[in-house]
Amino acid sequence: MKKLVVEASADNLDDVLDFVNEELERHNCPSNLQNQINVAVEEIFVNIVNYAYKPAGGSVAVFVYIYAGEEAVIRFEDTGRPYNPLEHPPPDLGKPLMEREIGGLGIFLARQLMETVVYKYTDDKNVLVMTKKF
Amino acid sequence: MMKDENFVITREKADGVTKFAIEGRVNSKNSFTLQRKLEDSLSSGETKIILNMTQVKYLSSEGIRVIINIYKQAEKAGGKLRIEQPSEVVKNVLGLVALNDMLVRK
Repeated sequence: MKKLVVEASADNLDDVLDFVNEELERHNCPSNLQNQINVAVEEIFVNIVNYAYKPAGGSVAVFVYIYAGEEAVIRFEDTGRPYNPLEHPPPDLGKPLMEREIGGLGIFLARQLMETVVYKYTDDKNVLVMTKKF
Repeated sequence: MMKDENFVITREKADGVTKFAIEGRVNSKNSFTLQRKLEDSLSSGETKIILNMTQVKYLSSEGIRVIINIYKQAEKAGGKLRIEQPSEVVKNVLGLVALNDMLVRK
């Protein structure tokens, strides 16, 4: 399992994506699935940046593990305020565009793009794990 | 033309329509640039907007938020926003949030 620890700052998004992509590429993850995993990683990381620590700062640990050479398991841990993003109601996709809410799209997308997304609060940490087979 | 490492927006006007060709990654970093360019157009009265997204390799929710936001502003100003020639990546992501039919020009 590989681990990266960065400050919870939008400036570190590229480092997080590079870190995840290095592992995905090493295991020959197809590029279209890599792209989908990247969007999910961005959504979760940006969510932590926006909600976990503000206004003070803090760090995020990202773990990547490729299970059996064909399933990406990505875990995020932060010690910010307890926050379960999966409790956010999904966007109402039946509404006309003029009435669409803009919030909640990112987490919704991450859940659509990954096979599983699980959250728990444990040992004073927000832990979010998502998986996708490739 | 505005150039980031992997993000380019070009703008051209023809027949009262402003067309933006977007290349590269529309992510949480670049979407602000896109928003600013589109709002510049709206505020100078260009409310008929086409986004050509054939060269977009990546689209995250921040990009979608910008597009929805500008769509609403354009409609309110009596104009409209449509996407033309979305790449597969764009089509797939917009499909997940049921926006292809509303945004993509047939």
